[in-house]
Amino acid sequence: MRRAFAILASGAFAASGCLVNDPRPPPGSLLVTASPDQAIATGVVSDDGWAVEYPRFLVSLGNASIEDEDGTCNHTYSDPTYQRVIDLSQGSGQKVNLAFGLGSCSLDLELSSPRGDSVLGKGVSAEDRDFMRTPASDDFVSDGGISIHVVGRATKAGVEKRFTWSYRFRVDYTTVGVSVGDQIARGLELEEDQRLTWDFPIRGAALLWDHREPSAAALRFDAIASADDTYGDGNGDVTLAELGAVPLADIAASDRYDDAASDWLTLQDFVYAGLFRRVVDANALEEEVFPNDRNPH
Amino acid sequence: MRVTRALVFFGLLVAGGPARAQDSAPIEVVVEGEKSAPGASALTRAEVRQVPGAFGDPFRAIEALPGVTPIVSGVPFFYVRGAPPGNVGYFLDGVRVPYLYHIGLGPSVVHPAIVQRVEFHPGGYPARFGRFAGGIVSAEVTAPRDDWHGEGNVRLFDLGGVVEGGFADGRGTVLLGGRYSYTGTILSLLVPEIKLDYRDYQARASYDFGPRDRVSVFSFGAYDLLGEPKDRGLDILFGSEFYRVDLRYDHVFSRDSALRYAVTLGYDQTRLSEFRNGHDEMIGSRVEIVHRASDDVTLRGGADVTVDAFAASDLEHEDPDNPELAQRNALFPERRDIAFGGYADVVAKVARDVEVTPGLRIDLYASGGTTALGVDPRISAVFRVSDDVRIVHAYGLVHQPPSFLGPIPGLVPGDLENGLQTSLQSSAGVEVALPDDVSAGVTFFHNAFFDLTDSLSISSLDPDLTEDRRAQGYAVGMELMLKRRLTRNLGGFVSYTLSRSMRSVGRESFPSAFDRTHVANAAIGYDLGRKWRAGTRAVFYTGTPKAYPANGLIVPPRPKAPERGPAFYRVDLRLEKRWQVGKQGWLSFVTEVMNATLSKETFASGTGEDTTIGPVTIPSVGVEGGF
Repeated sequence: MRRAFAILASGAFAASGCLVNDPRPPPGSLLVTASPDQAIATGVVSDDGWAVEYPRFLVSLGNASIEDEDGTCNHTYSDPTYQRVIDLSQGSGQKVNLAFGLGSCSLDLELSSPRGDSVLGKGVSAEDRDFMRTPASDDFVSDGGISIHVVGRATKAGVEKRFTWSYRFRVDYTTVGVSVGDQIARGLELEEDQRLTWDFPIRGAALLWDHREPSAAALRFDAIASADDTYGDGNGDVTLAELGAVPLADIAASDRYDDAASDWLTLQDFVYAGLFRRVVDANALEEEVFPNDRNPH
Repeated sequence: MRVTRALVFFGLLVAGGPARAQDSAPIEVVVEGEKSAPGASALTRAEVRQVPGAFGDPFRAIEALPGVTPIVSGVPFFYVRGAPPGNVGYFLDGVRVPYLYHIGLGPSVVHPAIVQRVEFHPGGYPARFGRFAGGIVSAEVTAPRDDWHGEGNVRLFDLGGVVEGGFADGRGTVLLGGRYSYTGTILSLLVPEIKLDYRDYQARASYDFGPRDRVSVFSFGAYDLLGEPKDRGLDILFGSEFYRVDLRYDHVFSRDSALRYAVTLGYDQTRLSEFRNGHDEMIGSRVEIVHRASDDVTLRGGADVTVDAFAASDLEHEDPDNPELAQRNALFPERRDIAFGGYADVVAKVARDVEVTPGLRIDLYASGGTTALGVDPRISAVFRVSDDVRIVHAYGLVHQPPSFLGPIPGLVPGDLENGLQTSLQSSAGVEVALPDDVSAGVTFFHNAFFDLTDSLSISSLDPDLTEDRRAQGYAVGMELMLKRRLTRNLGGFVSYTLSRSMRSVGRESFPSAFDRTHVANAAIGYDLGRKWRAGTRAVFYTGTPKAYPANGLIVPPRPKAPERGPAFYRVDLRLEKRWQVGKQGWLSFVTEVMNATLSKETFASGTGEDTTIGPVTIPSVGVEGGF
């Protein structure tokens, strides 16, 4: 009918003038999901005896992008150009994005503060999204939005510590991968009409690591608790600023906090600059970090 | 009496010139009795040919007129007295068309040879025009001619031509024309990663069944494509097309009264994304009547109805949760839009030196189960102070359904839930005829805008272009025009616009994203003798407000008086050599450069780093000829 109408409206010229329909073969799809680790899902006991749990663990993740590394991937199908704010405390396998491609492809992922139209996951409210979109400053970012917002609680021997931390950097994960057994699979083989799922763990435990490499890390909270007790106001709330008062030199030993970057001076540096970006277990070949500020990067 | 001789149309009274006009291209066509509506500017083709940088294109020349604010140098989409491109209506011989220009810096979608005249109505226009809340660009094609004649051109990027003649002893005429670009071929050599293609056609046939009755069909269309060739095929970055067929019946009751009835079929289509096409199948019907009741009173009226069926091809491969998709689907739902309206006005000479044109237009809109009514009173007046001085006033209320960023075929927002866009347009000016065929004019204008769907003006650097955010605002300014016809041995013009265009959304009040305080054009053409003619034109405008990207963050309100980007200027050149071939034939060699100064344009940015593009320079070398 449409064709007939076009031809009637245009005379013979339209027959050759109409825009072509989609000549591409049907793509395969990749469902990107995120799941909490044990620390978020059920809580975890640290190696130094603290029972740590996360009542809320908000992550703004998305912009999953199918990429063509060597000309073997048709990535012209749509990319889901949006973020989803998910609360990992709400369960496993939460959808992040659905992407399409065909051939041998790779995947990029973005951790960044939400936009006004970011999709809300289960248990996440518009107020949560607005909160994460509201610029504020910390010791690392000026007027930035929030990529990760955690509300945690730790108890040990009748002592309770609470912490509410916001991470204001954006992390671009390039060529991400998932763990398959002991291996990391980064390449995607997408065939026509094939449906794949990649699930990315979100690691609450990463914030307790005493080493940047998970294989070498133990879970510790004593140093974090000391930020409130020894270096802070002792009110039970451990703030990032209080972590900033803990010199790494005071807590570093041969088996802990010993792989800090040279310009990290405090525990806040270690947690904020070193551990937060490891929360998303993206297995990326490359990570780029930018402030979540107003400037496009 | 031939139908043409007394056909009253477009508010113009054509009452004299024979259909067999013996005009060769350089001779200005002036139809007897023709006059512009108060406040409007008219451009004839002969004059436009001499405007450097317009490439002989009547529609491109509009950007040189007062009241027009460019977005980007050379891109023929513009603001008109503060109204964004999506609020500017384009009409070709009374037929609404989605756009008049090919993609990017392309030429118009109809061959210049068939355009007799273009009228530009920046505001307060006659009641005949409606359903747009900004300016109106109305082109009138040449009247049918029964003597065989034609015109063609070959340029660096395209070739085109028009041929027309008569049959059945002059009772019938037929016209064929079109343009084809071979930019694809050239670009494939120079920039193989880009494919750019455009073409258009025009066809018309008319037949006079008697001295008072004519039936004609006018069909035209255009196709544009921009893509990236890949091994797997062409990735289309932008593609659009539209086609129109206008079936007409013209009847002349007497020398003072005429009627046109027409049925229009249309098809518009644009590539959205993911190889989805948004399209519009349109059918419309209109009737227009003009009756000159006396030497001092002319009545004009008409009615029309259009039905647009909008749809998009099925989505196959996209994340259904993508908010952009949801917003797009909400903005462009599959639906049927109906617009029905009528208008009437009276051109009345109420005193010896006072002519008043009161009018009223009423439109009823229906879209996706919602309806809206637009009642648009208009009035204009011309006070003749002396033989050389006229005071012109024009006021009007205009309404428009929601519109998109610009005129894009098949992409018209649906849903009238948030009401119509409204503009209250007012202007007052003085026109002075000076000695030696020089004219001058100054006009002051004020447009008030209500509920504009103006994403282009209100967005920061990361705009949400699909959101139906309504903006209020106004534009106020002054326009100057000093002109001597470019067809004179020494001709030229100076146009200048001083304006401020503001928008407010919620608590924010800020200048429109493309507000430019000063816009000036100056052109001069000179007959060098021996049929050589040279011209140059300078374009200058000041910068736009600095944009402050939000990057998705909730940010403080924008300042009312932000910093601005740098000004821009360019100089265009034109040189023509003409030969007479036989009695009626002619041949021209034309070379033209837009932006001969290789000026780069810098856009304001809130990142601290301004964005500079260009130089966007278009050279054109071509041969034109006609018989």
